[in-house]
Amino acid sequence: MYVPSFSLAGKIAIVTGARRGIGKAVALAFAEAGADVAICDLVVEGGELEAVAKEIQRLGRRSLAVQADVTRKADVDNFVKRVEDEIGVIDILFNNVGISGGPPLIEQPEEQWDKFIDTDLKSCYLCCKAVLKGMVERKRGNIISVASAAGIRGFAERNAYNIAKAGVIMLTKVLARDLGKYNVRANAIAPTMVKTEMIRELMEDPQASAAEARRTPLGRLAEVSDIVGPAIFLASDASSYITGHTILVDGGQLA
Amino acid sequence: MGVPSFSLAGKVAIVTGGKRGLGRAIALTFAEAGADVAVCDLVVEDSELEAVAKEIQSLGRRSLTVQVDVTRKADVDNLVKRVVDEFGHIDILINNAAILGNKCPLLEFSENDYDKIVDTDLKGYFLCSQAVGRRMAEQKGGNIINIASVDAMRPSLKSSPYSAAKAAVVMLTKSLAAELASDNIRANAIAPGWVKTEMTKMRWGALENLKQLEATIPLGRIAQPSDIAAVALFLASDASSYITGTTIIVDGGASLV
Repeated sequence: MYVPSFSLAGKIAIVTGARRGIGKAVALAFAEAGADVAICDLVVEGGELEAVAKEIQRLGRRSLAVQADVTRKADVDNFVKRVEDEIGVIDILFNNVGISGGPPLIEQPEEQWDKFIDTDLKSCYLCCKAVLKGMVERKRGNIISVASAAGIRGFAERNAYNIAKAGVIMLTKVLARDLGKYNVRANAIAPTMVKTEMIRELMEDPQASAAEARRTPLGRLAEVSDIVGPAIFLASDASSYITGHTILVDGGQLA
Repeated sequence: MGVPSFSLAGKVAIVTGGKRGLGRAIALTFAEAGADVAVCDLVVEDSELEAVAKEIQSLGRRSLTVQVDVTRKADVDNLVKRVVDEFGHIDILINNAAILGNKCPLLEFSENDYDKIVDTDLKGYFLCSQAVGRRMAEQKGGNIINIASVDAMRPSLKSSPYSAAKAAVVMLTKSLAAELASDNIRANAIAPGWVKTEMTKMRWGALENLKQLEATIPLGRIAQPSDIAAVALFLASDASSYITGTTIIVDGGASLV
């Protein structure tokens, strides 16, 4: 009656970069919340992506694992087509692919700038474009992108990463403004450091991890589970009046 | 396993300005999610507050009604005492009691009207946060949610004290988060855009006004109180465990335009 629905029953979601980390956790949580979930990753050797798809199926939902380099339009379009052919039309897009790392901007070689912008920003754009025509036609859709607190207050020793993530935040606003009238929402999540492979170096350095935890009012780095809650919230009807917003998930660091 | 809990079972919440509008919607949503809810308001003689309490009880939860002027420290301290005496602890504070005031050009606003708006909308939040925050710090746990407004980012014309106070609430939220995190207290704010409540009715009320207004909003409608209550539930629950110090904008995309 009053409590909103956090269920994703009847929905079909796609999650990019779902082999591990945030992508894997969100894909599994979406499935547990009732959605069929198709996943893609650059790397399929080693069977990790297929294992996630099997886990989704064990939860009683349909899944599909596809190899895709999301910086290539042909790969993105192929992934979306396969999902539409084999599972159905896409309700939720979770843009999760991203890479991070140094060196500082003035030392960053041009090729690396390109790689960061392509992987962290252009891939979002390509994935959004691939699903949007259908979402607009059906007058329903939900796009959630993993931005970063780095896109609001740049991380030290980062470079095009900060800039690409700021781009994801603005992309979210552009889409929300243009597509609201078609009942398509677009929002983003902006975490600080999350304990995944992406920050392995930090996690293996006790002094650096401790310093990062001290910088955070909640006194710890984020777990992947801390990102799952906001992802489910944004994917569900509970957030139906929120669009164009980036939810900061930073343990208070930017406060 | 993966999906977090959105339940408030075992929690005790206080909602200021709880007799109607956003406060009422949040109180009932929290009760349905499992919380016992103390609702308070400035005016209690009209039995609207009692009606909310009865509805909380019909949802199977305990409730308490308290008359509170949030601008008076003595009232706020009494509220905390009554809630602790009745329920033993306070887990969630919803700072919602606020006034909009009449439209008035900035240069013509009276000092008296300024004081009334800023006292209720900022000082009231501060006093409640202090009194409840102290209790939460003793408990080493708590959750404060401040109802701000999109006016905090971009002011409504002829509402300068309200907009300034709401901007200050966004900042107060950050102070609360930064200073109380070590006591395991989270603090966040919600910035609604247009919501269908009594408080703002005169501004959107006439049908032609409403249609024109809705045409400017990407999602094409103004919010129902339930749209805001849903976000409050997310922030009150464990699903937002790493979120603190931030303001979530809930406006159908209005501030993008």
